[in-house]
Order: sequence, then structure tokens, then C-alpha cells
Amino acid sequence: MELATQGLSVDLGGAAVLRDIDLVLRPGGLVGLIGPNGAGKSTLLRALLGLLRPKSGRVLLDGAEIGRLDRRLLARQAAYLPQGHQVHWPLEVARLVALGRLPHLAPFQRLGAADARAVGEAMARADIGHLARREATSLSGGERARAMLARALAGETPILLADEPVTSLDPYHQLQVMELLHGLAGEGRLVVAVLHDLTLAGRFCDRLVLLDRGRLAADGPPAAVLAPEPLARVYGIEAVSGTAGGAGYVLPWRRVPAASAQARETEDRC
Amino acid sequence: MTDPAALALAPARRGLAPALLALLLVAAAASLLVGPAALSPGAVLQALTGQGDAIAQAIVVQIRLPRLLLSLAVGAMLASAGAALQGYLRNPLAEPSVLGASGGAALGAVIALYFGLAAAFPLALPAMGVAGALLALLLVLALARWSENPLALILAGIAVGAGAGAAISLALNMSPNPFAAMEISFWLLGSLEDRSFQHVWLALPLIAAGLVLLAWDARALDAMALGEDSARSLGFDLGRVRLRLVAGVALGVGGAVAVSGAIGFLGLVVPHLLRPLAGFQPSRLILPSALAGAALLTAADVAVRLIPATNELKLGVVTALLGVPVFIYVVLQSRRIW
Repeated sequence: MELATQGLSVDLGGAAVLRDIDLVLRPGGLVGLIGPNGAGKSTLLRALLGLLRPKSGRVLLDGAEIGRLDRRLLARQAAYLPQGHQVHWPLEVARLVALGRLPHLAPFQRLGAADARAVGEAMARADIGHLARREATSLSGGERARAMLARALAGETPILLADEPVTSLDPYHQLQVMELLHGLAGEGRLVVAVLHDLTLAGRFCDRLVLLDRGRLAADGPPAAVLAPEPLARVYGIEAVSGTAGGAGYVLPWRRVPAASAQARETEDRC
Repeated sequence: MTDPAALALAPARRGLAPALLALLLVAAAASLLVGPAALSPGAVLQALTGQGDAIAQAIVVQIRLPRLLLSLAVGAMLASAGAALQGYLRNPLAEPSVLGASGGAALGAVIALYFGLAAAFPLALPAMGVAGALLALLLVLALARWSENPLALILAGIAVGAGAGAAISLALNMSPNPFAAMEISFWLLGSLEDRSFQHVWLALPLIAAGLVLLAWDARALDAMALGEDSARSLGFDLGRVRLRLVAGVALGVGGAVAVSGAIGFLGLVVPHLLRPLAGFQPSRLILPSALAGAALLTAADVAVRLIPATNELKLGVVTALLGVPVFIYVVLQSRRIW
């Protein structure tokens, strides 16, 4: 299993959002996709799922162009957890999670025992078993985020692409979801998560891909990507770092002084 | 603590479809029993099996049976089209007319009336109605080609519907005499009076095709509840889903309007009434809506025959009169869902 982009460029509404992205993603380690607001993280995720038409370049799943693959077959390979977690009807949570089984069902086929097992397991992993009968629209933001994660897990796909899966969660559930994603990657799935929390990204990811204004700014192990230089250059921040329990951590601490921020903007214009 | 997986599998209301089916059978029986000619249930049953009095046979088989079949089919089609469109557009205000198909069908029928084709050749009216619906469908698809966004579809549908409405007004305006204008107006009110098996054979295949097309994509409507990107990532080709949905509505609703005239509110109200009972899941709403729509329109058609009036009340008038208060009640009850 290999998901790759070759010279991928995407325009949205006439604006260049991604430029010349070359990326190879393989199973076996949690990949964090990071970058400032507007760097193109969500767009890259959508392009990886074939939801966007690239301006140029290609997205390949095991060597086959993603836009040419059958949508249903692709859906059994890759699950997508979008940002925002919208639900339009007050569906019961269990039914919402069961929507993740849709790629496995023929038009008039009912949910079977295997589907029920997958739904139950996904709900247990996302820690929402107790919410099964609640209406999805009545959940808190964090509960809904986990219900949506369970929906994505229910498909039992070898690839999971999650857009900001921990953004609205409390610290307990942030850690829980990150552990879960890390565990899924450890089981041999290809897991990519868009993350804003650099501390979590540094702690749980095996590899970080840093985007900056549509371009690949850094790609490698967290220690290298979250080094002072890339953080100052791309995010305009300085971080405090140290070790806790044998693992390194990075904590965003302050913006870099105005002078260097200006230098950064000047550099933008060139 | 119950097993969440088992919950996911359990139907929302196990008794819903059987209960609606029972209601439908009661309404259907009433429709065969009620009419100006007083026939006993025994006589009706005999007539249906091809025995007994020749006059009773003619009344039941030639007059009441086609009327019943049409009220069932038209009611089922309008209500399930409303359910499917509300699910697809994720808008509880959608109804069968938003795609312009009913407007197109009505315009076709009005043209048949206006040019006297309907008088020369009775089937010209429904046939022109079907042609009008198909033409409206092609126009809507051509107009909405620029975007996969459901909103583009509504805008195109509204434009085509408004165009058809304007043309109908023009026909009324240019009517050579008041009787012609009245004939058009009365037809537009909607009715199933004096329909024959010819109407049934014309409308039924279209409605059946429409219902199958709508049911085919029921699951895609569930996925649409999560947004378009999610629906596509769950394996649905939204372009094809839209094509089948628009074709289903155009064929089915077009066929329905062509034989019945404009029957309002059924497609809006029935899905609303049933949505909580179907667990708010669009795919689980289509069949119950079809059953309830068939039962309600048949009941309304019985009511039309029972209510004493100098002119027979038109079916479309009755559904609108009943539909508005029910709609207001449902909206007040369900404000929290939007």
C-alpha cells in the first residue's frame, strides 16, 4: 500500500493552494500533517482522496491514478474524517457510525453481523459506546468529533485520512484519540492526521509533513521538523523543548520578535 | 447497557411500514366502496372477481379501480419524491415541484387543453404532460451542468418552474373564452375524477420507474447527511446520484401530474410527519413516505366524494386545505431540528 503525490499542484477559486508537492506515504507510522492556517493541509488531504482535480501532477494509490479509480473501491481503501463534523439530521449516534459501512453495502443490502461488529468496535475505540442512542445533533463538539471518528473507523479501511481529529477535544480525549491513531498506524494502517497542536504532533507522530503556503517546507521525524529553525521560518514562533518520561516534547512559547516576522513577510514578497 | 452494535442494526420503528400498509388497505377499500352508486361490499367484491351484476362490474372495474390505482400511485410518488429531495438537498422545505418537473408537466397539459388537442384525442393531455416533464428535466440538467452543488439544481429547477408558470399564465391570459380558461384552471386544481385505465397505463410505468430510481440512491442520501465530500469519500458518485434523482423525479412526478393535475402539499408534509418515526434517516424515509402518501391521497380522494358540494371538490384543493394546518403544526413541533 502506497499513497503518493507527484508534482501535485491544486488551485481553488483561482488561487494557488498547493504547489509541486512530492510525497510518498506508506503504512506503519502515524503521519502528522502540520502547517500554519492556509498552508494547504486540508486541500492536500482532499487531493489525496481524489476529491479535487489537481491543476497539475498526480495522486497515485499503489501506482494507479486516484481520479480513475472506482469511487466505491476507493472508499473501501480510504476513510476520510473531514473538518467541521457536520451532520444534517438528528441521527442516532449508532446509525451515524453505521454510515461508515456504506462502502461495503450494495444499494438494497441490509447491515449484517460483520457490519454490526465493526460499528460496535469503532464506537468502543472512540469511547462513545454510552452515546449510542443520543441524537448526533445534541452532542457536544468533542463528543461529535469522536462520533465522526468512529464513523470513519467503522469502514475498517487500511487508509485513514483525518482532518483535525483532536481540535475540539478535551485533553483527556486528545490524548486518547492520538493514542488511538498511533495504535492504528502501528497495526499497519496508513494514517495521516492534520494537526494544529505541535505538542501532540511531536509526541505521537512518527513523521511530520510541514506545509508552508502550499509548498512542502519539511518532511521527516518530529525532532527535525519541529527544530527551532523551521518553527521560526514557517510558523514565526519559538518553542520550549525538553524531555519528559524519556520522550521529547515541544511547546509553542512565544512569537518571534517583530523584526524577524517582518523579515519573514519581506521574504514572502520576493 | 445495551450493545451499541445491535442498536445500530435495529430498525427505527419496526411497526411503521406494516401500520402504514394497514392504513393504505383501509383507504383503498373505502375508495372502492364509496361513490354515487350505492354498492354493498359483497357486490364490489363480486365485481372485482368478474362476477355479478354487469353495471356494478362496470362501475367498480372501469371507474373506481382506475381511480384507486391512480390515487395510490400518484400519492406514493409525490410523497417519496418529497422525501428523496428533502434528503438530497438537506432542506426540509424541498418538495417535488422544486425541480420544475411538475411545472413542465402542467404546462404540457395546459398546451393540450389550450389548442384543443385534449378534446380531439383524450390521451393527448397526459401524454403532453409527460413530454412537458421530460423537457423540463432536460432543461434543468442542462442549466445545472456547471456545478455539482445541489444548490445549482434548485436554482435551475426554480427557473424552469417559473418559466412554465409564466407560460401557463400566458395561456390563461390568451384564452379565447372564459370556458377555456376555466377548463385549464380546473384541471390545474388537481383531480382524479373520470380517469380510465388508459391513464393508469400511461402513468404507472413512469411512476414505477421514478420510484425505483429514487429508492436506488436512498443510501447516498444518508451519506449526504455528512456533507458532499464525506458522501463522495464513502464511495458515491454524486454526479450519477444526481442524474438518477432528477430523472426519477421528472419521470415519476411528471407522470403523476400529467394524469392528476397539480396536487400540492403531499410531497412536503408527508416526509415531515414521518421523519422522526424513521429516525431522521433519509433512506428509511422513502418507503414509509410512499405508503403514507398513497394512503393519504386515497383517503383524500374518498373525502372528495363524501363531502357534499355543488361542484365536486378538487383533490388538490383538499390536500392543500388539509396540508397547510398539518404543515404549520409539524414545523412548530420540529423547530429544533433546524
